[in-house]
Amino acid sequence: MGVIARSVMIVLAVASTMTILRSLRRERLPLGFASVWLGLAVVVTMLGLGGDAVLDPLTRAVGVQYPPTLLFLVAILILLLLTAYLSLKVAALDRQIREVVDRYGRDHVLEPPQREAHPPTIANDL
Amino acid sequence: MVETAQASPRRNDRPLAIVPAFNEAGGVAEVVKSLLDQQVDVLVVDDGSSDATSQLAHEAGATVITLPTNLGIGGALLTGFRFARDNKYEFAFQCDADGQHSPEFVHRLLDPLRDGRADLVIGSRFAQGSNDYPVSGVRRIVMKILARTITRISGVRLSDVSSGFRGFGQRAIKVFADSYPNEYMESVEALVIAARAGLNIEEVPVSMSEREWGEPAANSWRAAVKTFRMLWSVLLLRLWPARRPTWES
Repeated sequence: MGVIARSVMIVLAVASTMTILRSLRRERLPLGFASVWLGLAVVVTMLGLGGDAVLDPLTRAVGVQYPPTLLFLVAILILLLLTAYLSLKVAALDRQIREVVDRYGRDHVLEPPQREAHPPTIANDL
Repeated sequence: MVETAQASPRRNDRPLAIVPAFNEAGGVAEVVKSLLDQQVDVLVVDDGSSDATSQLAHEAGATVITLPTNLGIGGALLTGFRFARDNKYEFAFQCDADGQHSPEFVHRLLDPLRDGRADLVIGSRFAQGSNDYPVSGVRRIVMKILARTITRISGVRLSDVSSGFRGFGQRAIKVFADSYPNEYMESVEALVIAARAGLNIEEVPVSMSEREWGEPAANSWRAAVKTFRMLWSVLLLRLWPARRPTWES
């Protein structure tokens, strides 16, 4: 890995760490998500600092031939997991919204205007 | 002493018409009036319309629930079933707001419920005794495949499983108030739920007019998409039938 690539990784990791910490402090991001992103930022920082010295042994240990593919593999797996998690989360939110909308609707029933020719009148007429 | 009868005008031995409506300002008032003429209570569930559907339905004499956002027909029906359950309606039926279903046939839907023969009655466009309802070639075949699949699952011969003109007895109201599908083709999936919940299903012939208001969805590539999704839902039902609670639970 070249110096530029490593510097970019470190800068990105540090910048995103700061952003995450800030949104965490402002309660924009729940702790669970923040932890995942922070963990990723730490991994990227370590890769940036260590460069090939970190990546190569890892690659060999896993049995991958070409180091960059290991990065892609890991990145894609993480993204897949995240999308799967998000779609479950969206489905749950959808369910919740449906419940809320239904509940709101049934709590705000608009009764029909009085109709003519309804039981009492009929009874009187008879 | 005029106001002593504070009780709601709703008498729950009257059937309830559940009319899901999404942007049906053009026809909803007409439908509400002709339903009221059949001596039934009318609940219009305005599914987040952006037009005057709610107001016009109310002025025409319906009870109206306005959902704050669009849930799709399944969501609107679920709200209707829950309203029917909470207000202890013995019978309910579903009726489109676009004038496609003729209120004169309402009692054909209700009679098997009143006799206790059925919990769920489907008004079929294709059963013996209905008039010819125009459906294009491919769609007709798909509807037949769907009908055959549901017939196998439910054990009842059904010819029209996507009809939105249906009557519900108390057991059906309870099952569907607990859970009604909201995916596309929810009317088909609802039958699977009903069959698995042990409801008695019956089909009666009705005639439907072509949609008087609104866009028919049977044109161009949208028809192809619809057809494909219908087939896909059949495949899913065949491969992996959903398990649902029975009405006793």
